[in-house]
Amino acid sequence: MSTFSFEAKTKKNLAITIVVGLILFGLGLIFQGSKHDTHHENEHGETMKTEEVSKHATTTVASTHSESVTDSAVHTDTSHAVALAAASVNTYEYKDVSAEIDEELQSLGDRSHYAHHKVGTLKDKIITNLYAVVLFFLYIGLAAMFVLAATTLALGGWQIQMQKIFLAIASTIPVSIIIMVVLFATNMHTIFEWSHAELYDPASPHYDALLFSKHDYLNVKGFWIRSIIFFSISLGLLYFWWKNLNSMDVNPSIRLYNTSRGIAGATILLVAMGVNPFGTWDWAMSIQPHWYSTLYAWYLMASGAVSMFSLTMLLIIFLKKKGNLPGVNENHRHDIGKFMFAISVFWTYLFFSQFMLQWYANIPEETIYFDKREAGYFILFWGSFVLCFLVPFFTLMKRASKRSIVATSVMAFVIILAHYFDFFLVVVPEVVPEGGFGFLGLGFLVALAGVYMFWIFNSLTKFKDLESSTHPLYRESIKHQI
Amino acid sequence: MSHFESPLREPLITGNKTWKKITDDIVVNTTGDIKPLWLIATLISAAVAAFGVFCIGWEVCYGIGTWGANKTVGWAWDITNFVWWIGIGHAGTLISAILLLFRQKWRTGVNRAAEAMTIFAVVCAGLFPVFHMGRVWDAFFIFPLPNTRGPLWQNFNSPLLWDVFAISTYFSVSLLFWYTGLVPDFGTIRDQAKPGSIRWKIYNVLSFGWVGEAKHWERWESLSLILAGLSTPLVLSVHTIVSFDFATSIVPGWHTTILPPYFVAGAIFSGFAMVLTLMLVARKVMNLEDYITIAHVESMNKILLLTGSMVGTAYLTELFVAWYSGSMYEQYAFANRALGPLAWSYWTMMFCNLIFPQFFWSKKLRRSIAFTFFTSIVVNIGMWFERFVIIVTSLYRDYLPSSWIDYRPTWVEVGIYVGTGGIFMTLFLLFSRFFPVVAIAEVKSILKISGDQARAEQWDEVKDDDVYKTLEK
Repeated sequence: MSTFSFEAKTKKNLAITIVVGLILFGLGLIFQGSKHDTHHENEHGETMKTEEVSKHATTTVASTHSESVTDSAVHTDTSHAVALAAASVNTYEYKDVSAEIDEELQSLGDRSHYAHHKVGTLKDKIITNLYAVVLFFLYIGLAAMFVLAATTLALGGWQIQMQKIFLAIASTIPVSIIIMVVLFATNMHTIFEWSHAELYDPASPHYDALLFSKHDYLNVKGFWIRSIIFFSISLGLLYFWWKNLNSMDVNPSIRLYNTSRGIAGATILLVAMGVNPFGTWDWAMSIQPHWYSTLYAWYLMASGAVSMFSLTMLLIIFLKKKGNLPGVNENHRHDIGKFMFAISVFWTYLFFSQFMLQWYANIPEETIYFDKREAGYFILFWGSFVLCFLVPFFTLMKRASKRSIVATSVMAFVIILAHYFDFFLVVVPEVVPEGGFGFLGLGFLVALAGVYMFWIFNSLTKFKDLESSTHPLYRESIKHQI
Repeated sequence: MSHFESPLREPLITGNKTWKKITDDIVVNTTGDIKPLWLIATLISAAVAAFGVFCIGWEVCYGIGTWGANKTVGWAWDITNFVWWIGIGHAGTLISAILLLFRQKWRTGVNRAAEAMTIFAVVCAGLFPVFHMGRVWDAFFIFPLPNTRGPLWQNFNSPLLWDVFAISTYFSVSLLFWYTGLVPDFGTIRDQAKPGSIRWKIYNVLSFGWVGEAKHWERWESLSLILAGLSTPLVLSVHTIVSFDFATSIVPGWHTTILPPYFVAGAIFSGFAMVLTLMLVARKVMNLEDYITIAHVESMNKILLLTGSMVGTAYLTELFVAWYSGSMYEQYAFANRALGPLAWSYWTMMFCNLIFPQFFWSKKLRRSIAFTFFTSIVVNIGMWFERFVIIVTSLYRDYLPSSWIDYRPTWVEVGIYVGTGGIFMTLFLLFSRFFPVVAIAEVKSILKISGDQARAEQWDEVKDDDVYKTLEK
């Protein structure tokens, strides 16, 4: 039985991390801000490198790069407009095609095809970069709760000594929720294009027939109701887990263990059938409200899960160094390493399934998602694929590397960073089609990582028994050997 | 530090077995007189299989026109059956490879039969695309062999060709894996026979002269590990590529990104259902209740619940996203599934695959043999309807309303489908008579840690733990 003491030195290091993050953010502000100033000299506020974009882009990206083109220029460029209309999802509506083209032309100069506000402003960059980091951390927290539930429900024994680490990571869910609620309350229009009321007003020049057809789901009231429901579910589940595992330390009983399996069943059901799909549709997929993919929810959860295991690995190594978790050895790290490897491959499987199927069918409404990301963030898009898949795949394949502290901790950092890129690509490109990546986002990542680590360590100090030595399956974990 | 297992876990081998007793219990099913029940079952299965072969012959002679396939529903029953059988062929590899990685010891009781079932199911599945070709004598065209057809090559961009590679790879690796596992057990059966007898000679050849030297075991374990490593991605890849047959198209209801993982989950779901259907009968008839215990059944039911819920989540996701897409074709495809003339098939699928397995949240029902058997049949039916819904209801009302048409199967395709059931059962019955149905060597490997007599020592070890003292209260 041991407890974790949150030393002053660790606190200091975390404070330094936060400061470094803030400095990075400041640098980002200076760089992005200066870029932003030049935008203002330009009437339409965008500095898309048109040639470069069109190299990667198919017709669908026309909507993105059209922002740098003045209205009059577009009116003469009919082929462009036709291509745009063809690419537009609005062609699904039974309407006169010429009217469609006119409607598209009117919206040019504003934000892409369902134009409302100008994109890529400094505010857009700050808000979306912050949101990407918070969403990423929320999914890590949810994944921690999910893995805790899955291992409990599957009667796992090997992970018992580490289950408090999963719980500590899951305990960050409220932090993410608070930041998200604040962001939604103050900046919903920046992140969610669909939240503008005039998109649903047929009299408005911004009227969007496609979004109108989804209005029953995509509306601000419904969004808040669903968000509150799924936030509450997550917090409620977290409360039950916290209560159950902590009372097990004080007053161990088989009955409590049986209760934990009940909580685990509820967690799996509510997260897999509620929080994960609805959350992903609301908080991530609706950022590009015309686009849809049935796989999206599982895809983001895989990202969260692999990052969560990487974070667990780092925490184990750190805690071992501080003298905690005496019974955890290379066998346990090997298993965590296996999960880092396996879920990296699983993530790639989902990435490939989604990407290949949309690429193969080549329907413009679907490919626009990838076109935008390739056009504006080519290196990041494929770079994150390399870092999320190839690097961990080849590094962690060998048994020896899964048992090596150096290899696994380096890979853990690589995986967390790479999946942050993945979340960045989920959130930012729709609002900031180009040039949104930089110190700004990294600053948020580092600073918030400091804050979240502070929270995690603080949670760890609350546990009376860090390695759950009173758990009925604790002996299995202690004698775990592979 | 020795390995430890909590006595809270149910024993996986009951009846206080010894090494010898395990061998005897399993080998006895391959010796002695042939039971009349077995003979009758085999003869009936063989007759059904023969009828299937007759129907295949009929189709080959008179062409694909003898099927109900029409201008929109070109895939019809044939590919429905193909996907159904391929799905069933998933449980074996999942049990041998993935559950091995997850260190699920209960797999040892059922892996042998599940792997055998996998192979027989893939054999049945393979018949369908081959005979769907019509001119079956040209079937070798699917292989990219050097040929005299000039520039005419296979379309490497087609998922149908990927299927050829995926399924043939899966079949070969599964077969190798299954056979490798059988080798030491064939050695055991041979050693039980009279040396020099015909029986001895046959099993000696089948076991490659296995004598159980340390070197044999060492090589056997290396080979098993390599094959397990190869099988793991194959569990995912086969049904993923089958799903690509549909999902790469732009047919509404087919083109959806969740299809690959949900096909895999569905395959495991139907595979486990079939394993349960067969093993619940086999454990009774062959007196294997000590090796395939209620704990095994409960674990498999949990997997049914898990994969059924995954499939169900995917159904609901598809339904929602079809509406959310704003694409009227997607919306119509799903509205037509749920409310159109074939809505009964859609709701059969929903009921059997999503709703019915939810009963397994109840521990009592998970442990009821009768209810499990009934559920396994329900799931088999539901999973057949899933493929029927995907194929027929997406095709019979296509983009051109003038070609909308109902789908009616003919006696030929029904005959072929029923016939594959006969082929499958015949092979399985032959397997159950001549091969060890439970992996003798693997079951022995868990006896000392998960057998019922091991639990006594384990109770002794934990008797001072506070948490275990609360159990008596």
